[in-house]
Amino acid sequence: MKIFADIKDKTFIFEQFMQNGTPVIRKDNKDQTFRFESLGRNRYSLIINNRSFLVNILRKDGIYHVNVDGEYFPIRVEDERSKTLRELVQHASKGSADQVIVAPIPGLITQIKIKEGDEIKQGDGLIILEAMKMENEIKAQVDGVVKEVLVQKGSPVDKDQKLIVIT
Amino acid sequence: MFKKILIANRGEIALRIARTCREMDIKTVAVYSDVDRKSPFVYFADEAYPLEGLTSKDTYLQINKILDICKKSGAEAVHPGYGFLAENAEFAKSIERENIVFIGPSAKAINLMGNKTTARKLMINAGVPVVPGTEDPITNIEDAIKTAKKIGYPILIKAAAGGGGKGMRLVEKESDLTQAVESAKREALSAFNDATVYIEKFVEEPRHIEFQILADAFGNAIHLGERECSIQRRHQKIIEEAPSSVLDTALRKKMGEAAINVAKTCEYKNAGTVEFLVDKDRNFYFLEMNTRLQVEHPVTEMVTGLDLVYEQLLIASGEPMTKKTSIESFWGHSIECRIYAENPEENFSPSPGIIKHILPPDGPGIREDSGVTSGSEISLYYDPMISKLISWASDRKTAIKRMIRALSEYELQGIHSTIPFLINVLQHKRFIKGDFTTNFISEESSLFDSNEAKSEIAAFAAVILDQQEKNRKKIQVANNENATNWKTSNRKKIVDRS
Repeated sequence: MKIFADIKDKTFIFEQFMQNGTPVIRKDNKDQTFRFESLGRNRYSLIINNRSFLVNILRKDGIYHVNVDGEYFPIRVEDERSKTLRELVQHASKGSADQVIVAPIPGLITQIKIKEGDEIKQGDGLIILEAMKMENEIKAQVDGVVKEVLVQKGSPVDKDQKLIVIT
Repeated sequence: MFKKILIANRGEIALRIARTCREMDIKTVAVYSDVDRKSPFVYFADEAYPLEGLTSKDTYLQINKILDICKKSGAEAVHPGYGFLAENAEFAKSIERENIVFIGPSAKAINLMGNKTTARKLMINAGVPVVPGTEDPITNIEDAIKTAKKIGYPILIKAAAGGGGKGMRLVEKESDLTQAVESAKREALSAFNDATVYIEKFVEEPRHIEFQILADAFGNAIHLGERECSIQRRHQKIIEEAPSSVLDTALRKKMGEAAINVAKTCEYKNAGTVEFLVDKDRNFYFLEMNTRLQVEHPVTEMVTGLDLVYEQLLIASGEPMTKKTSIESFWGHSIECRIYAENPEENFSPSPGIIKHILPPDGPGIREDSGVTSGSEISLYYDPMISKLISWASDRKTAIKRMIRALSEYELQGIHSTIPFLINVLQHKRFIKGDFTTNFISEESSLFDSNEAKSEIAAFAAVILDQQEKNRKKIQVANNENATNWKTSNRKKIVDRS
């Protein structure tokens, strides 16, 4: 069975099976034997074709957060069936004209530059979000009209909290 | 020497100061906000007092609360660290009023240097070269427009009370000026409680090079050489090193003398840093003086063998400092990397959260100054720095290699960090050659690339773990079915028996 690993904008395709009692992983028609041991505390020792790696893996919200040699990668792992299913759902939810702007980081709303009914252009500053004493300006990604402002000046917001709806 | 001091700070710097104190048999008093209750600097200290509150404003910036704790604990001196009240003359004054020693310069020197516009005036009079710009703060936008036109774009708007790039804006054309002034003022007000800003000519292709100064009450004033701090993002330093690859002995001597001159002009005592911009023709301009211990002080410690906190304590207690003459050469090469809880791919936006697991590197030539541990939270309330990693080696090339090795070894889970980005900077051809300015990060988009080979290993590991867990679940389900069967058959037997 094919297994898909989405990593940033790339997708790796793997197959995993047993061969003469040893686990094998196949990628791009190349078979590699491996040994994988949990060291506790989300740390793993991976030896693949005799190359040795220490890997930190944390699973959160269906994503594997992997650290290797100082690098960090968020990875989604799916088999063929769940991938098709997810893509169908995503496709169905598209087509709505409203665009919701969410907070990229938690912080405090220090300024709202627009009001409901305003026409905005791509690149216009909409909201100033202060986090860790830095001002972050949230800009419009598309042209449109402000349908709804869901926050007020001075209100604290969480990451991914809805701020503005644009149609 | 003091018997007990209070450390009016948090995180890595509070811990770093406490460590030297312990080596000197000085008792330490920590103060902490609600979110910092479980921080290492609290349990490392000999005594700890709550500041009751969350925000900096309600806690580490509360002069009165800290003064009360000084009196309650019987601390003889206060070390302010960096940031918070470190460059607050009012704080230094209030402490001295209670006959407690402020471990730093006099309130007068802080005042003179803390206000960037008065400092500039003073330096012009002392013959120290400064960047062209306004001598007075901007009071109205019409004057700002006129001044900017006169010195020529691009210009920088800077907070008079500034530091750390906060309240600073680069303006390339007149139409952006008004908005930039307003936003700089807002940020300055929030960060320093002072909205005063001024205009400076933007020096193009600059390098940021600073000199460490030490001066005591016996008239000794020396410099400990430079730190190269040109690798910056959002005007904040992220990699510092000593020595700088553009300074030779002659320029080091000239700049060092200018730095001592700056310190003498304000009758400076204790440790301080004089910051310069060096342009492409190796002209240098006074930028500002930081009247405190710097974040990046460890690189100077590594190449001089001095403990700057130890020297600060000597000077503050009225003893002569260890070294009486400026340094002429360094012992090897040292680099510091600041590891921040930030996501470089999203314009270095803060990535707060709980550190699930942290295991810093060690081995030859590596020092780590950190204030967190597994389970610590990087909150939104303070600076998102996780730790400072410092490497030392006999030469620059080896110090870079060593730092890359150490960063690759660093284990950190639960939050985004700048570690991969720092590795990319250190591996970059221009960095290795020493060919960079403060614009380096914005010029080099390849710094944001991720490593192909490592991504494949990461994907391997995620897939293997995913499959293992799926198999384990299958086995569990099978076991559960068996258990149920066994239970039912056993129950049956019992029923049958009765």
